[in-house]
Amino acid sequence: MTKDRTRQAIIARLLMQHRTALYGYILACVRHHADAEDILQEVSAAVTQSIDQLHDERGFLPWAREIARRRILAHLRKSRREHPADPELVRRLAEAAERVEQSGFSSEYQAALKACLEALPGQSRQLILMHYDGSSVRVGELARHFRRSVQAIYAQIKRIKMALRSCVQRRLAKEMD
Amino acid sequence: MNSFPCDDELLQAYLNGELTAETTAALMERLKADPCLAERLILLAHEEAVLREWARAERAAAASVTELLGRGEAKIGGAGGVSPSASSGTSEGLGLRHRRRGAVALIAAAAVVLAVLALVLGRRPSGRDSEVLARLTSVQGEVCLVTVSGEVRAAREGEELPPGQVVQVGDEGSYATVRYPDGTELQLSPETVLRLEAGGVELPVGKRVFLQAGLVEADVVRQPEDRPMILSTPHAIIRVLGTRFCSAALAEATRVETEEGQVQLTRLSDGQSVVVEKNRFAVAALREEPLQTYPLVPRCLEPHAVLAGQPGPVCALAFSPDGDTLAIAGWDGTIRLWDRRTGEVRLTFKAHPKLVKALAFSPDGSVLATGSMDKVVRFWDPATGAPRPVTFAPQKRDIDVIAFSPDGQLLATALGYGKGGPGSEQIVLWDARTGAELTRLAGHTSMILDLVFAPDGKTLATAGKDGTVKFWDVETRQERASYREHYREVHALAFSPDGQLLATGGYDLTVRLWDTRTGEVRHLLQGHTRAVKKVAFSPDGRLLASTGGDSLVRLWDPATGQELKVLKGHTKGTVPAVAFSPDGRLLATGGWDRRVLLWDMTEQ
Repeated sequence: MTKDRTRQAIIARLLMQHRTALYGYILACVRHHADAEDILQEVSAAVTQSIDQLHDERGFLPWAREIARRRILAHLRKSRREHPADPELVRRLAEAAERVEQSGFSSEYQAALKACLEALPGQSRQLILMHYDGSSVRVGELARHFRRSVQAIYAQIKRIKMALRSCVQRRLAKEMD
Repeated sequence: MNSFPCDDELLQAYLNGELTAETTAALMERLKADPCLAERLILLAHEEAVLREWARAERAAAASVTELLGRGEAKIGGAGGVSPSASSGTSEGLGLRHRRRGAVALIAAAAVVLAVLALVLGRRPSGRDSEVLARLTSVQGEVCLVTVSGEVRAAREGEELPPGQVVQVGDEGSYATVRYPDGTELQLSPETVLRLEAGGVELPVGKRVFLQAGLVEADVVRQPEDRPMILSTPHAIIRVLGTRFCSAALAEATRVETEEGQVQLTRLSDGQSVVVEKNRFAVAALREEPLQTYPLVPRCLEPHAVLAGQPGPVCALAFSPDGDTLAIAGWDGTIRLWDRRTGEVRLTFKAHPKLVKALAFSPDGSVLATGSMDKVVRFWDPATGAPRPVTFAPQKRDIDVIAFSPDGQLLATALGYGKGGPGSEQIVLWDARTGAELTRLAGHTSMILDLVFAPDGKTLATAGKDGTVKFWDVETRQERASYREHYREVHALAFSPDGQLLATGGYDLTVRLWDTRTGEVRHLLQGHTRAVKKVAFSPDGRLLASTGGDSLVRLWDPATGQELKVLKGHTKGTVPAVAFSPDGRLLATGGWDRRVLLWDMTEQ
């Protein structure tokens, strides 16, 4: 039991640590948040079941990403959206995810983005919260809530994200100085 | 990667599914050919992930603090008008996931719980990263620090701990002490993972720590009324104003013992709260049992005698029916027969080439049966240590448990690890006179961890890793009943001498006392802070002993379910073996600390 518990703690920590990277890769491939959530849960379960195959924690993310790649392909084949599953694209994106991770840039980017999110002014913050908190609030409802048109809400979210990216760039540039 | 020549807007539209089919197809081709474009898409997807996680954490933090602390005044900073909704709270969110993915392994769910909580509690105002919250004032053994970015390194004594710092304490023998500037101290036991969080600026809380797993003993100096210390676990939030308490967070539950003052324990699964006063304890589990407090048992009993120097952990013990001999299973495959009258080991013999996992005396005392990792059952003459001429067919799995039927005619075994052959989810029934296999009882869906015959010999009870307890009709060899009350694997079983009660112990830290006629649980005994490994009734039925992974042996009153005493003596690890002497005057326990302890039960 002791070993089980220690292993459980290790898995939980590794999943916690790499959740964003895994989710990002899955989302880039399936382009749908709910599907990405489902696949991430499947990957978490698969990782848990086969953690014994992992011999070095440093190899966790590439290993988990490979599990994710197979789950993504299975999902894309099953879902039969307008574009058929493209294994080559899924593989290229895995390679790109690995390069991004290796560069170390991703974690800096994420940290800077979180800091910028904390600094968002009231209504922008509220809009991003409602749009992204997973409570499935549709843009139409957001529009009613904010008494704006749907297009205006889309445009506002885009503007906030552009502002966030600028903020991130400024923060990263400052850190490099 | 400081500049990105690629087109963010196009990629964002691609991610959002807003492009036409033709544009999407064209972009997919470009993504395959252009590594820069692919990397940028990955970064934008990461950005989406961060936004989503941030929003959920904000929502959950507001919901949990508002609802669980019962203050109704916490708000998401600057987000006036955003009221916490039930659908976005942590527990409900997980509930929805469970409904959607019912088959996902529990451990994965636990990981999600941890991940979500980590996000909730990992939130901190910007610009506070460099703040030092506390210091590591003592480090013993293997203690690591995990930084916010996931970097792991060995901890040093005196080290400063910033917000977000994770302290991981290694295996047995490792300890760490975290001290805050105001004198508040947290003692971290082996296998503990704790994260320090910045105090809330927008939320009405002060010191915050997240106990992911393990055991913490906290000595908290008086905190300001409006900024209590918050210790969170995967199952509960503990609100402290100033007290001494101890909290253990495990896979399934959080236990809190209060030594001084009081703490407020709030269960995450339903928001139910209870105040745990001095000398009381409470357990918050994922599943909903009534949340209540129980008295702590301050009286501890010291061992009467210690049989040290065993060749390794002691996995099994058995008293001979006359009570004169205690058989001790050896890690090296030997059996030691300890003579109660002389207090000396009278005979040591090599029974198996590998460790002995199970042993049992026949009811007439003429046979000592042993089961081993070598996958064979053997019979011995306990007077001489000579093998008995009964041969059992070798199995393809370890022999984990052995039990004689009360009339001595049958032998039941549970199989453990190994490859091939019939699975460990089957019970093997043998003819104890000839060694012939009679039948296999199938019904458990996972490994059988313990089995015991009822005193009347008509029923065999089995406990499984599948969390069930099954009753089998010995005569018809049919399953008579199956119960599932423990959340996870059931490790231990024991019938009371009159057969009216069955005690079970499990991974969920509990001992349950069942009425064997109705199948109802009469008492839920909570006290162990690690999995319960063995249970045993005293021969007069007035005591129940349970042993656990917490190195402790607990004595209970089976009539009331009250804890009577805590027997402290094993120095580390699990206590996997327990046996009462037939006269009830001695209790023997064997542990991973390579010792057999003998406890005087005459005054209990």
